[in-house]
Amino acid sequence: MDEYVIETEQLTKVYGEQTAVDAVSIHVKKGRIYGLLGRNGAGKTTIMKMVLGLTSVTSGQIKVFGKKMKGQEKKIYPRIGAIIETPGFYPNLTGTENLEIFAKLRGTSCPDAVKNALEVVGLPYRDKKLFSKYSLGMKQRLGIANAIMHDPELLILDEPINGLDPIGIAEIRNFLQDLSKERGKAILISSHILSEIDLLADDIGVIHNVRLLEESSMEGLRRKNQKYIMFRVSSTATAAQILEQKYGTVKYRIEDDNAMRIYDMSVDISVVNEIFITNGVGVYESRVCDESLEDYFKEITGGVGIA
Amino acid sequence: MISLIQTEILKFRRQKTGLIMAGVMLLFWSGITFWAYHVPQGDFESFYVRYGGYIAMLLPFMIGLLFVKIYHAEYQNDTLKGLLQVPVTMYQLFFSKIFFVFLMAVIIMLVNCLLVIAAACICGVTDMELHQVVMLIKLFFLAASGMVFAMFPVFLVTVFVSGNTIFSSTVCFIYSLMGIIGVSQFAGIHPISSLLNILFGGQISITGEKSINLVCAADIIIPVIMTAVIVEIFYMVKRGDRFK
Repeated sequence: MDEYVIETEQLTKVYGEQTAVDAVSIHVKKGRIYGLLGRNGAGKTTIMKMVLGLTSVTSGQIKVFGKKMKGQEKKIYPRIGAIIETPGFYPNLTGTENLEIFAKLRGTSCPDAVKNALEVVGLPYRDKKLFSKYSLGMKQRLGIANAIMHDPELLILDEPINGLDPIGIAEIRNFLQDLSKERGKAILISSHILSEIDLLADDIGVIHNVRLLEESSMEGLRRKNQKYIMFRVSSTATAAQILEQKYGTVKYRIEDDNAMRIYDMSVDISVVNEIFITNGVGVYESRVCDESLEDYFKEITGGVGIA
Repeated sequence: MISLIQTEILKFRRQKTGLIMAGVMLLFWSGITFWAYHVPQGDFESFYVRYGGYIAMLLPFMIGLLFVKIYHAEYQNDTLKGLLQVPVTMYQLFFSKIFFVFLMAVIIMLVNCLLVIAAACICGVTDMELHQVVMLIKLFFLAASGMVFAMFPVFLVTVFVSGNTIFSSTVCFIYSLMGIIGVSQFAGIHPISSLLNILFGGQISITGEKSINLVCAADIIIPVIMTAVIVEIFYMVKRGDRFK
């Protein structure tokens, strides 16, 4: 379908006896940010490498801009900007010189492309500092600058906020949102930092143990996510017994010795507070909450967190 | 391709390799000049041909090691994935680096032209004429370009062991040494020996017949063609994991 900028079908990568990616089908739409979520080693980077043609595909299909990459590299690559793992540059050159090399190779027509890209990521233009002296954050920023310099239609960013400070993360987030919403770019971004994906992504794909568990829009996810009442009490075991005596079957989950969640929103918080206190269970906190992306991730991965 | 070659030149900025090569060249020149000063010299032509022969023996080491360095740098700096997305093919990258090495070889030999003239003046060889200087430049240019062709087997090995600098440097060293030491015995077999025989035959070896020169020329050209074909096939087969 033309609406998909990236479309993979049963994408699989096997190295010897080890499967790195198993039958993954993702769909990245134009003008939207697609977050690829998963733990380290889940297969996110391998998927991105296969989409970019940097790694061969064992089986399955990939279409970028509705076309297969093979044989179309010269037409497709100029429309893509990417960072895969840590960005690679020449250590004996400055940031500007490095970008000028790639700008020259790409035939970038805009004379200020390098300057503008460096300005966006907050790096100085014509600075004398060599790439070998760059901090991790600066290297990452330079990688982002290289990816956006030629104004691509599609950005593929593998953990782009690695090494960035909080202000840098916010700046890049705002920039990516602007690219997507205002300028209609498609962005495929991978991360294991759920809070960032939560703030950034329009659609997500959850990769776990080399498989795609679920693909969903964030909007749909937020609608689906359950509200619950969070209780911090002196003893969840006692509190659970009291709940069952009072309400019979009520959906709840014990987090630890002092924290529990009640998913049944028909329950009156003030009544529950009262019966806990009356029965000798201390109540330290009670409030209504929404399930977070982390909760969702834990649920679909069978309780395994992302960290 | 032109922009690739231009960027190869840009990538060479601030590299110590250039200084090291210049230093080695000057050291070598000093040694030969010191030796030449103390032996009787003939005319300028025989002076520069002999001189050129010795300098040409240094060239394969310089060309080979330079190529190994700039090729492996793309793996060491992890820049291949960025280049492949431009897109630049591995085949284009390979030949752009060979062309850069060719440019460097020509520069080295042109600088050596000046050094030879200086050495001739130091050693008291004064019958220098313009046409002889032109011949000198021509000979040294042929040595530079011919030596790049003669080093194609080393370039091929470098591609095969992508990322392994030590192995390719060792192969380069042994290959160059064999070609130089066996300049007479390996004429027609080893491309470096063949080239040295074609260019400096009368000065450094016993060969010089036309038929031998043809065999030597074929010995240089055939590996070049074979390397070009094998490298293309290699990159096609390895396309799957192109930057590994």
